[in-house]
Amino acid sequence: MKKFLNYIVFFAAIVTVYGCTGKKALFDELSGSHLTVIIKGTFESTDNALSIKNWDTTVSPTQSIDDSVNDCITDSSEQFPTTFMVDIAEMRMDDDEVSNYRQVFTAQVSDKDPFFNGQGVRLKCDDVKPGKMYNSVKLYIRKLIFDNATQWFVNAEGEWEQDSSPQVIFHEQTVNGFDFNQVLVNTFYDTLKVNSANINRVFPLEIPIDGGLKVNEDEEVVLEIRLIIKNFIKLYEYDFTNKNGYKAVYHYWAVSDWLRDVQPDDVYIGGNLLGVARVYRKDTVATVSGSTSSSGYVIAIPAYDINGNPQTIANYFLDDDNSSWVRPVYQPHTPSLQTSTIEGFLDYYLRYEQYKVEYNTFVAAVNATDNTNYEFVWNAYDGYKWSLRLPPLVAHSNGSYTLTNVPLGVYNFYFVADGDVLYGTLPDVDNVGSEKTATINIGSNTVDFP
Amino acid sequence: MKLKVFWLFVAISLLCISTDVFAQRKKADYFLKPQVGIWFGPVTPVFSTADDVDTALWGGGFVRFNVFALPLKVGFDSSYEHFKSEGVKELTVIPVYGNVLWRLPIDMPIAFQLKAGAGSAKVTIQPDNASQWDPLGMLGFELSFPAGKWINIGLRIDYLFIYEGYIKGASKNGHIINTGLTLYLNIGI
Repeated sequence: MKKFLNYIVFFAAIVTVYGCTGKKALFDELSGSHLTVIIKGTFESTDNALSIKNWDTTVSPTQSIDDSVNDCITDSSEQFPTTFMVDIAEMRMDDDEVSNYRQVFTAQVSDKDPFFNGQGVRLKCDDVKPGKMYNSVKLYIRKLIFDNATQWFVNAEGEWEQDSSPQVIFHEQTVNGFDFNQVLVNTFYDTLKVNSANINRVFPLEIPIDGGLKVNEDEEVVLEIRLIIKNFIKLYEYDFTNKNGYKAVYHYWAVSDWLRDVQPDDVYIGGNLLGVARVYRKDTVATVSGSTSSSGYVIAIPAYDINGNPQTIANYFLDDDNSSWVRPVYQPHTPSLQTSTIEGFLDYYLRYEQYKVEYNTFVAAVNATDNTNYEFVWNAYDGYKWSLRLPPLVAHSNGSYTLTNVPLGVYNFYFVADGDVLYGTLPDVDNVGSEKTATINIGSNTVDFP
Repeated sequence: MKLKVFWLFVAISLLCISTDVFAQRKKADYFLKPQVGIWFGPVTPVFSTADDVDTALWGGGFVRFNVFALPLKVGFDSSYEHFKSEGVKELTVIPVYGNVLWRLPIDMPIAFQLKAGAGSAKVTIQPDNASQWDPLGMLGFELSFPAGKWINIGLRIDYLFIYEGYIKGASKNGHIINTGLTLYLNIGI
């Protein structure tokens, strides 16, 4: 038996020695991640704060108050938001649960806040599967809140009177503001569909990864997600009846309806939260700088897509001259009597006449048998809007620009002047010009737009 | 009175001694046989490993032999332990080790044993899909009671330490506590 004990000890020794053949620190690998995820609220991709356009905080009906605000025009009483609050339930790569963590952050509406100055906010993320191609990142967004929302109601005299500020729970705290994520759930077209209750555009918000994400073993990769928030927000109106039975509205700040026009009395404004994601490896990126003859955006896209086919900016931006750009005719909202005053009745009858005209147009569209048919034009509209792709590389130039973290390769560069990108809009493909093709090598590169 | 107390003391002492002798002989007869068993229960990552993966339910098996010259048993243990997380992280550990068991000299029908051992563990992590063998050390405690001459039923707690400190750049090791119900047979009776 002593011999047997010797065998046991010998066995344990052999197995232990055999165990010392590992080459990778697996428990470190398990707790770490090769993927760094940062999220930004800018159209620009660069992390150079000087190449990011400053906030324009003007509050006016011609700029930041949306033309859908029709019941209560109160521009002199509205204030631009100062705080943006984000609550994300989880994040997935395609369907892989790489970040099953609730993540909450607050950004100041300021040119110095990391969310708006190009630095970005880091999101916690586990590893992704090496060698697997991921095409999209899914953000399960719980809340998006801007402060400085206001509440108004029609008082007994038939006049609009300001009420207390709307409040919402954010991160288990009550804050002043309006959670506009709830009105991003559906696009207007979704609400026309039988299955609208099963459609949710923000849980998750699916953001395409330009060029895809593929991580090789032991490779450190950064995934940059950009939500277009900065200089892309507007004031909207949300109609409801308050606790006292009065007609009331919330005025709230949310993303611009540049892509999917919001009409008066619309509840849902979905499809307007635009995002893009891109991937780069920290050790194989370059910086591109240059000068421009005027202020505007410098935009770069890979000259070839992931299949090796050449591409231009027309593969990204849309054309507002396209027949599918304008929102088609839709069933108009029925007017309601706002107040039982002479002015209220006159207003109601005017709206009723307008409603009858719009409804006749709607009926004609529904009955049409050609390509002006209601369903046909809405499908064309919806398909065209979803075809928008945002460019992976953008910097703003005030005469000079710096585009950072550019993966090596061949790119098409474009320039679009500020005058062609009004507040709350993104460039139209017709206005993006000065195409230049350049090969970007490691280090510093120069691309000028004289 | 003193005499009565004296004889009462003697009688109780004899009774206790006799019972102990009898019990010891019966337990020793069965428990000291070679044993084969299985266990099942919660496997819990602890310390730094607990930051990455969650507790799961798994089990394993073992064989044990007595060493007559010593108050010891020797055994082989192996198990399969698969840990998931809320996300994509997964850890699979297959420990294979030898151990020495020392039965505490407590004279009761319940056997208390301390264990110590060493061996290797095959460690696999996801989503990296990387795996390798790492050295392992273990300490454990077990109690069991006989359910007839063939069967023992017990409870066990083992701490497994999976060592990666020998790998360049490693800052973490694996820490797992296995607890479980165990059922094993006295064989060769």
